[in-house]
Amino acid sequence: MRQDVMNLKKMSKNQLIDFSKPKYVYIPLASGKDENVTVLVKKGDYVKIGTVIGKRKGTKKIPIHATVSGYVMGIEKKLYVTGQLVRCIKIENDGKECYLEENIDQKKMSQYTKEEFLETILDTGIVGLGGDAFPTYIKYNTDKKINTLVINAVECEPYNTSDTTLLFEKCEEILEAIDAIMEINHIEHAIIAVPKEETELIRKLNNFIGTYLNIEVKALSSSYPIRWERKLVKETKHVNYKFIPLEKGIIVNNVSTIYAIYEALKQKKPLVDRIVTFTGNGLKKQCNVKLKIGTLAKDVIKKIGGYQNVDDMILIAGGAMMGNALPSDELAISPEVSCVLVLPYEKNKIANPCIRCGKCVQMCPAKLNPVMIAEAYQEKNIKLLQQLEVKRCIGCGLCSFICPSNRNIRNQIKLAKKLCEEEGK
Amino acid sequence: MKAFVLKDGPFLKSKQKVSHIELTWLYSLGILFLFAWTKNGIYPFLNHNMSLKEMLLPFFLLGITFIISTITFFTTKKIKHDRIYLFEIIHLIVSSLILVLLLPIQVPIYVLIFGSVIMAILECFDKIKKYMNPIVISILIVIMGTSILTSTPNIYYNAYEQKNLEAISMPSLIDHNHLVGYQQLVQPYGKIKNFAIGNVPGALGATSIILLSIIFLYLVYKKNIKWEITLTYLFTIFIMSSFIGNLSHFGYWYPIYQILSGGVMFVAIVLATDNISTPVTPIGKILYGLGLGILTILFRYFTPYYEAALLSVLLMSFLNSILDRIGSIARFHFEKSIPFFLSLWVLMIGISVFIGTKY
Repeated sequence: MRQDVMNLKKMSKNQLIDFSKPKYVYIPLASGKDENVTVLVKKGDYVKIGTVIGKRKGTKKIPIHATVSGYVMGIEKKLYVTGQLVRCIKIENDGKECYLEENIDQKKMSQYTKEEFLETILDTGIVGLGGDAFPTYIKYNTDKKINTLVINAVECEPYNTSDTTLLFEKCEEILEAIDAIMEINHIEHAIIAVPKEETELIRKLNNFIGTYLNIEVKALSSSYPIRWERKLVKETKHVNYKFIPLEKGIIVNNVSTIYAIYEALKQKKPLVDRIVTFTGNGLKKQCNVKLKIGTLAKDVIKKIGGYQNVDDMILIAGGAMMGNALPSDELAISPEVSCVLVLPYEKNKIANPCIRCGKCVQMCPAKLNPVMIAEAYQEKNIKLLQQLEVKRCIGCGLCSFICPSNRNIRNQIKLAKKLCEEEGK
Repeated sequence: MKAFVLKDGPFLKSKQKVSHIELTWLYSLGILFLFAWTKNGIYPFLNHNMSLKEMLLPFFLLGITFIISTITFFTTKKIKHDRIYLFEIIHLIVSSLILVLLLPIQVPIYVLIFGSVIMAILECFDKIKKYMNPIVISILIVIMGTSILTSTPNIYYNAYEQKNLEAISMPSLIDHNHLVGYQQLVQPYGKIKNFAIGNVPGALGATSIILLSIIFLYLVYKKNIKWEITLTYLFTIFIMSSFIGNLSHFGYWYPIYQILSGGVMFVAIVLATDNISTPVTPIGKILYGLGLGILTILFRYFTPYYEAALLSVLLMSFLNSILDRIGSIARFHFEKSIPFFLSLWVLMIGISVFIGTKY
């Protein structure tokens, strides 16, 4: 699979286009499955970049910022990364790029105290940009000693190149941010995990890393799903943990998140933009695009040349392995979206009966037995499903990928997991 | 607004298909069949021991098996109103090949037809297949049910062997009384290397250990075999018979003979690794191989049945689900599988010592 993956990545690699001035943005009032957000603006309000327009409720309180300056047009429902329609605040961009706070604090990054650091990354709404949008301040808000910071730039999803492109473009800034985070949080060691196939990137990193004695570049095989936190920690630090890496004094951050922290510390800039890979054979041009959160995917696709002349296509938000197919291109880009993939549609091949070859068992990174889980799910044997620890499934889709019988085992495991969760409630 | 097709992910698929797996097996067994034909058809023909018709006997046997099993399979599927998949047809050819390769050259045609019918019917029932390999069942039924091994003299001999080898009674050919010496077990067929080459009488495809080993390596390379079962099974037999051989003051040849004879290699590579009736978890596969080895030794020394390896496969496949459950739990809690390993190791050593000293 590895060679195929590298070929798929070549499509969009190192091509960065700026699309920072969309006419409208639709900022999703959601985070993952959580749509519990208080709206703080109303139709007709003028907002600047960084104006807090909504606030997530509950334990993961994170502000949602306006990503352009202009007038609030109202609330409309647009497609979210999960495939659901969610409420979005529509803002008409006046193109003036007015920031709420214009580089007020020019303090050196490493001069932040831990409290100021936490406050800044909370106020600027920094969340994990690797796909889960988990609030970053929660990770750092700990009294436990942090020994190692692992920076995830391995990006194993077959088509995605946004992280490696960002790291290549902003190498110095990212190293500076890592150094500052280490100093503020008294972290002794940092590891930047990069795909070993990215030789040019590794060379560039090594050129800059000389002065940062405690930062190490580790080239890892980009075998899927190396990006999975548990596997990444195992590969870089050779340790296992039970629930979160912090148990072993480790924090894992995506490289895009580190860059967002850099902008937050350096310029007090809230999380308003990110790099997204637009790729796949369904598009005329494949590239990485720097865009505002809330930009519609269809506007970006139009800007980069549009679709190939193919009758049926699939549009996927996320990635080829873990992403979701969407019914239209009216996808409002949220921090979770790292890739928009458009592929010509191929009809599903007929699923054959399971021959119990065990390839899914060999491939499963979570060490599950997909064959038995699927059988137990057919029999609705919840006790057996619990014994088989179905809850450990990370939904990577390798079982479905490898299955020679064309069975979509991941879906069955998802349903089995849901069944167990419902039983647990 | 442009509409897109909705489909469940993942959106990438590996290129390997079930039919590719079946075809790999077909090529491998095809080579084995060609060897069987050379040994039992071409070689005796060139040495003027048989007619052209007799030379083509292996093909005739294969043709009969395939035709009968196909007719039975399609009829049973039609009665059951089941869909027929392409890979099932290739699988049927593979199964027909295995059935022919496991039977003696002199097998009566009615026995072959009987076996083909049973095998093809069982191939139509997925739930039965999970707990018993249709080929193993059909072979055991025809061999044990018709007593052909004991009632037909020199059934494993081809025309050349019938002329050149001394008549040897069945019990010493695939001897269940294994505590006899080199003179009785090996010398009638020359040296132990003849077992490796395949220059000994036996089931059509089960004699050439070298060829079987090459096929095993090819299947491992193609990732189409549950190799853990093969290796554990052979390892268990080797260790147990080494104990027995040492305690009985036989030479180093004894454990090697145990592996090279009685179709153990064929069973270890072809039948014991059958996908459907064997475990899928690594620990499950290892426990399966260990159990298989212990049962084979038990059947060889304590029962009058010649089909020790086949009987072991049948019994172990009944435990398929249990072994997989142990294997699945052991992936997270390895310590829970330790009692099973310990029990099997104690059994291995205990049985070997008992046979070597008291039997």
